[in-house]
Order: sequence, then C-alpha cells, then structure tokens
Amino acid sequence: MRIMLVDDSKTMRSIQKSVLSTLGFKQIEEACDGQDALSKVGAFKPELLLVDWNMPNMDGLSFVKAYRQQDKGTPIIMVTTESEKSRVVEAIKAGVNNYVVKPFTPDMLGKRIQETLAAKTSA
Amino acid sequence: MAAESRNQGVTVHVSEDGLQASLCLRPGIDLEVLTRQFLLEVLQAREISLSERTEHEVDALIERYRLSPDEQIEAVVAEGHAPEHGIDGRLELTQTLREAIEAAALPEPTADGPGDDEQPEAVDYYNQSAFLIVDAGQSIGQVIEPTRGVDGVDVRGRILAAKDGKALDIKPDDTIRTTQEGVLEAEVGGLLSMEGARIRILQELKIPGSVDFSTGNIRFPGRVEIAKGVKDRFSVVATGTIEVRDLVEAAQIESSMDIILHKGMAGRDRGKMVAGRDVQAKYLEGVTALIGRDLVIEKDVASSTVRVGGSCRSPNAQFVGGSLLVAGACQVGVLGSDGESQMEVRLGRLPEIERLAGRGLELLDLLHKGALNARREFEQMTQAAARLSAAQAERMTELQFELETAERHAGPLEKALADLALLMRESTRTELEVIRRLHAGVEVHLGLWIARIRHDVKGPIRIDLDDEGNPRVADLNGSSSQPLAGLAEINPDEEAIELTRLLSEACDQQSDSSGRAEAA
Repeated sequence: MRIMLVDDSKTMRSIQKSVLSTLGFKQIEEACDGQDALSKVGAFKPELLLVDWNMPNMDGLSFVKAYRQQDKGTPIIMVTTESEKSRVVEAIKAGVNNYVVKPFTPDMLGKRIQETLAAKTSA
Repeated sequence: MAAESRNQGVTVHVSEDGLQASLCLRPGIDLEVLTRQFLLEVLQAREISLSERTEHEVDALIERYRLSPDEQIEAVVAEGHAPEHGIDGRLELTQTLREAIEAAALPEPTADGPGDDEQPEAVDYYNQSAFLIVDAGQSIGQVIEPTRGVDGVDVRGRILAAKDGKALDIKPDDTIRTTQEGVLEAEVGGLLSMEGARIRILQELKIPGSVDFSTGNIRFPGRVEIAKGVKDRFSVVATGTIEVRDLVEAAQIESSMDIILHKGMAGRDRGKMVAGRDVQAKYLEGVTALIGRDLVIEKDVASSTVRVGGSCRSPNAQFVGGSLLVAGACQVGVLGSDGESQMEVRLGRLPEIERLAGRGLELLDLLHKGALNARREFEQMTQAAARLSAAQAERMTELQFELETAERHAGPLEKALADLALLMRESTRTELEVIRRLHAGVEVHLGLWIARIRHDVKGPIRIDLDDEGNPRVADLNGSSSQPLAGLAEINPDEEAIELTRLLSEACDQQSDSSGRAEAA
C-alpha cells in the first residue's frame, strides 16, 4: 500500500515511517509541506495520507481542500495538536477521515491507521 | 615411385597417395598429334577421372608446349581430395584450470630466492599452487563429442575411407556430475585427479614433501597430510584436519577441524595456528594459537600466546613464557621456569564471548541512559505546561517514540546477555593441575582473582575456587586443600569483577522483565 507522509518535521516523518514499517507498510513517500505534497500525489498515487496541520507554504487544511478537488476517496489522517482540536470538525468537513493528537505514542498512531483502513475496506 | 605410362613422349604421373595426376610432355612430340582428345585418352587409359578442370589443364599444357616445344613441360591435371578423419572426443578444461596447469609448470625459484633476470617480476611464488584444486560447484570442463570423418576420393574416383573420431572414454565418479550440456562440474571441493579415463575429486590432499616453493600455499577443501614440514611464510588452510609429519616453521596453519603436528612448530614469534577443534603437537615455540576445543602438548610450549576453547591435557609438558588461556580444565607438567620468567595463565575464560558480552553491555547502558533522559524530559514537560504548544507536543511525541524504541530493544538484548552469561558459566571450568612443578613468577587468573606465585611448588597440585569463589590449592597426593594465599600474592581482578557484575545486572533485569511480562 502506498502511503504519503506530509509533515515539515523530518523527525516526525521518521517516527511515522517507523510505525508504518512495523505495521508492514514499506512504500512510503514524504513531503515537507502542502505544496510539495500536491506536486507528488499525481505520480505517487497514495492510498493513505498522514497530514500535519501546521506547515509552511501550504498548511494541512489547505492541502486537504486542494487534494479533495482531485481525489475524494483516498483516506486522510490529520495529525493535530490539542490546540487545533477545536478545528477538527472543519478538517472533517474538508475531507479528513480521522485524526490523531500529539503527543501520541507509536501504538496510538498504529491504531488510528488500522481503524482508518478498516473503515475504508468496509465502506 | 609414381606410376608412369609413356605414350609417344607423354607420361602420366600418379602420386603415391593417388591424390594427384600430372602429365609430362617431353620435347619432340608431333604437334599434330598433340590434341586435347589425345591427351584425355592417355589419361583415361590410366583410369584417371576426367573433369572440366582436367580438360582446362590439358588445354593449358598444350598451349605451353606449343610455345616451347623443345622443353619438357609438366602440370597437374587432376586432383583428388584426402579423407578428413574425424576428431576424437576430448575434455576441454576450463580456462581457469588450464591457467592453473600452466602456472604450476613455472620453474621454481632458486635457493637464493624467487626469480632471476629472466623471470617475470609479478610472479607470486607463495601462491603458485602445484595442485589442481577445485571448489564444489566449479566447472571442470566441457566434454567435446567426436566428429564423423569425411571420405576422400583419389584421381581415379576411388573412395578413400575416413575414420570417425573416437568417443571420449572418461569415467567420472560420483564426485563429479555431468550437466545436460556436457559440462563436468565438481560435486565436492578437493583435488582434481585425472588418471587415464578416471576423473574424480579427492577430498584428501597428500603432499609427499614439504609445503614450500614447490607447492605454493595450500588452500584445500578437505583433509591435508604433509609428509615433511611447512617452510617459513607459507600457509596451509584447510576445511579438514591438517597433519604434518615434520617441523612447521614460522608459517600459518589453519584448519576447521584438527591440527596434528608430529614434531612441532618453531614460529619464532611469527607462527600462527587456528584450529576449529583439537590440536596435538610435540612442541610450540613463538606461536600464536587459537584452538577451538582441546590442546594436547607432548613436550613444551615456549613464548607462545595460546587460547584454548576446551581443555588443556598436557601432563608431561612444560609451559614457559607467553600466555595460556583455557576455558575448561587445564593439566600441565610444569608451569613457568627457574628464573621466574613471566608467564600468565587465565582459567575459565572465553575471551571472544566476553568481548561480545562487553559490547552488548555497552549498548544496553546506552539504551538505558537514553531512556532515562527521555523519561525525565517527558515528565518535566508534562509537569511544566498545562497547555502544550505545537512544538512541545511534537517534542513529547518524539520522546515517547524514543522510550518505546529503547524498551523494545533492551528486552531482547538483556535476554541475549543473560544467555551469554549462562553459556560462559556452563562452558568454563576454573581448574589447574600442575603435575611436576609450579614455578614462582607465574600469574594465574581465576574467578575474580589474580594469584602471583611467590615460590616454586612441587606437584602434583590442583588450583581452583572454593564454594565462595576464593582461590585454593590442594595436594593431589593428600586430601586437604588450603587457601592459595599461602603460596601466592592474591589481588582482585578488576576486569573480571566488572564484567561479572554487569552480566549479573543484565541477568537480574532480564528476570524482572520476564516476571513483569508473565504477570501481565
């Protein structure tokens, strides 16, 4: 399964990549912000995206809105902080399928990913 | 002699092999008679097969004669073709083996050293092997099938029969397989032996002389038996047992199995020996030896560094100078010498395992320290801020990841170290028996102690540890034992103490982790 990680922090991307690797996912593409991600989705065709909220150039919400114009089906998990939690509804309206709040444990992230994929399969 | 027929100055020569017929015209032939028809009839009378070429040659001959009727003129007017006999079947060796055969045929260097002005500079005489050694799976050669012969025909049109090539009479045994394409491949590694039709691979290499410039270094996938010795700077490496009947000089001997030296090794501080299993030798001098299992010495070991993974059983041998490290029980005749020469004996030690354990402990320490720091920082951040900034939330996620990773790796590492500690306990024995004499100056490392013998002690004695781990000595002719401190200066072995402590800690931590896991 092809998964795209969109986050301006290399460390966060490494953590997420490590969790995904433990779950058996090896085809990972990384993007450092929304703009970078939009330039890569066409060629990579991800089947799941993990998107950070706060990013330079194009933040997570703007990216989700732009991405949903070309793809309505691919599941997106938003990675938020506690302060952004109130805006989660806005994100869901934009097309996000699930979210995880920082700080999160690797276990928690793994659970969210599995929940999201299971929901997609049953749909 | 060629057959001839004369007809008015015209002679026909037929070669002995019947492959050429020539016409010879002498001076004085009547030119009116000399026609193509006439000459062809002469040829036919000799049963020569006529062809277009014959007619052409005859015409040319007549033309030449007419121009010089006073000269004798001769020309070949008919030719047959010889039979082409078939080529016998053969085994075409691979390029590698052909080169090895050529290289083995290079002349040996003179007694003054390798090479003279005429020899190529780049020849490595040490690695110039005299033996055709193949590895398992290596191609040996291609069987080339014989070809059929093609019959010839003589000038009279008679068939000259050709012989077909003979099939290759080759009998490989089960050490060699033949592929569908006719390639011979080695099933096993060893010495390629080709004796007449018999081709096989011998898994034992017998060298009738010494290993020297006549043989080159030996690298053999099997057993090696050397009738004489091994010269300076040469090496013998074998997967099987190496047995040497005469002296081994400052050379390198390496076997995955046993090494048997009927004489000994005079290494002069440059000799090296590695055995996967046992070593038996009359003596070792100036040798670095790594022995996987047991050591048996008949006479003496001098100025050598010897590590024994099993036990040392040499009740008649004297060990002088250098160091001796034995994992299992150690029995020697004499340890040390008059004059208190430096000699170190380490009992119950497995240095390679200890080194692994040491590295594992360092890694475990790093993991624990990293986890501790991560936990501290995480707790500080949790206590400090009621509401986390985005950066703080991110940092806490990183810390949790670090903690989880450290815990994930520490568990298996603790288990591995605990297993190593158990292996070391079970595989080692701290016991030294000296049958004849233990000299002053010998330093014995046993358990957590270093004992430096103060004065000569007559054997037979046994040195080991009591139930509390303290060194003791017993007279094997008597029944009681006493503290070794009576004969030796005893000091703690800091290195052994530290390693034992750390391994114990690792074992305890592993037990705790297992306990917690079971409880959960």
